[in-house]
Amino acid sequence: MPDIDDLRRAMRSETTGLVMGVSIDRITRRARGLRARRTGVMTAAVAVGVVTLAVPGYALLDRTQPRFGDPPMSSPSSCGPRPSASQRMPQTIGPLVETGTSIEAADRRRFDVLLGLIGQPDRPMFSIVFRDQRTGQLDPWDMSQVVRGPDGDFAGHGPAWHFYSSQMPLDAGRVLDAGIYSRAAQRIVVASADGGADARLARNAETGWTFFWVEREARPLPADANTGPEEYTGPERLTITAYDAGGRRQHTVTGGFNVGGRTQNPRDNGPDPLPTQTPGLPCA
Amino acid sequence: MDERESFEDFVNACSYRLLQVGCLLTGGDTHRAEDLVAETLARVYLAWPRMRSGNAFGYARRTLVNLHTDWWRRLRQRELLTSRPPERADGSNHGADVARRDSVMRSLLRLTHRERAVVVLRYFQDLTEKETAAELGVSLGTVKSTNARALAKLQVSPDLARPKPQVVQSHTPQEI
Repeated sequence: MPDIDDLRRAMRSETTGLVMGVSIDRITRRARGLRARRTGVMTAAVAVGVVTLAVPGYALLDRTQPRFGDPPMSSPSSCGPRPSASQRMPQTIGPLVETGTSIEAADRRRFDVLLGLIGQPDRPMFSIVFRDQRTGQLDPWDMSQVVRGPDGDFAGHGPAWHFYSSQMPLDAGRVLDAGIYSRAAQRIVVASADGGADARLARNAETGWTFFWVEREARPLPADANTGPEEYTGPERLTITAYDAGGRRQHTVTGGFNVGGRTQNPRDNGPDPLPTQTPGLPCA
Repeated sequence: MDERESFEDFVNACSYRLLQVGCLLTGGDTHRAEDLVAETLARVYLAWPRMRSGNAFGYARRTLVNLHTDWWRRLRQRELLTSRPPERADGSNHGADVARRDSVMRSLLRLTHRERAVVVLRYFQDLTEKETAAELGVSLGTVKSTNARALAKLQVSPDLARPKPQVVQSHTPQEI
C-alpha cells in the first residue's frame, strides 16, 4: 500500500455497501436495559416460543394470608393442571402468588396472571408469570432482576430504593399494577391522577419483600413511558405508597423508571418483541 | 419535533457512518460492528436530551470507539483466536480491488486496538491529530507515535500522502 490516499480509498471501499440492521426499536430496547442495569434492575425480555419454563403445580402451594385491610382475594386457589414432571422447573424463591387476574390472547387462550421471584436468593428476579388455563403451562414472560442490598432494600447506583412495578392494561380504562416492595407493609396504595386503590399484598418469607397487585380503573401509562430518555410526567404516572400497621407512611415513590413499565405478556406479544433485523435505514 | 423524532432523524442520518467506523475498528466483523452501533446509539438515546444541541455525532463516535476499546479488553483472547491470519492476498481468484480491500482488513487486524482507532479516526474520519487525541482521551504525542507505528505496520509512508490525479475507473469496484 504505497500511500495514505490508498489507505483512505481502501477503507472507504471496504465499508461501502454495508447493510444497517439496527432498528429504532432495538436501540430503545437496549437503552431501557442499559438504564435498568444502571439503576440496579435488569429487565430480561422473555418471549413466547423462546423460553418456556414450567413450574410444577406444587410450587404454587400457597400465598401469604391476606393482611389486615387487604381486600379479599378473588382468584381461585386452584393451580390448574400440573405440567409434566419432566418439564424443567425454574428455581423459585418461595411460592408464586395468584393475582386473580386473567387475560385472553388473540388465539382465545386465557392466561392467569401470577407473581413470583425466580432465580437465586442473592439475585432474585421479580417475575410476572402467565399460566395457560387450558394446559397449566407456566410462562414467566416478564422478569426483572432486582439487586438485593445489604439492608434488604433494592440496590443500585445511588441510594437504595423500595418499589419495582409494572403495569398491564386490561379492558378499556382498567389496568393491573403489580410489583414488589422491599420491606414488609400493612398497606400499599397505588395511585395515579385517575385515583388510587389499595393493593393486595403477599409477603415473600425468603426475602422479606412484599408482592403487591391491584386492578384499578385508570388510564394506562403510555407503552413507551419508561423507555424515553426522560422520566414520564403525565397524569398516568404512578404514586406508590407503603404504610405500616399504625398507618404511618413508610416509603413512597412517584414516577421514575422503576415503576409502571409495561408488562410483557402473551396477549400483546410484547411490548418489546425480540430484536429483528430491519434493514433499510437510509445511508448517510 | 419531539425528542424521539429528533433522535430517529439522528439515527437515520448517522447510523451508517457509525457502522462504517465500527466495521473498520472490528476489522470487518460486521456483526460485532452492528452490535457496537446498537450499544452506542442506546447510550446516545439516554443522553439525548442534554446532547441535541452539541455535536451528537462526535459524541456517538467517541462512545463507539470507547466501547470498542472496552470490548477489546474483555474479549481480547477471543479476538486473537478468531482473527484471520495475516497472510498476504495473492489475488489469484479475485480482482485486484478485492484483494486490496481484503488486504486492508487483514492489515488493520494486525494493529492494536488503539492503532486501529487512530488510523480510522485520522484517515477515515479525517480528524486532525489534535481532534484524534481529544476523541481518544490521549495526548497529542501518543497519537503521533501511535500513528507512526500503525503506518509502519501497514507499510504506508506518511510522506507519500499527496494529492492524486483523478483516475477514471473502468469498472465499478466489486463489493465483497
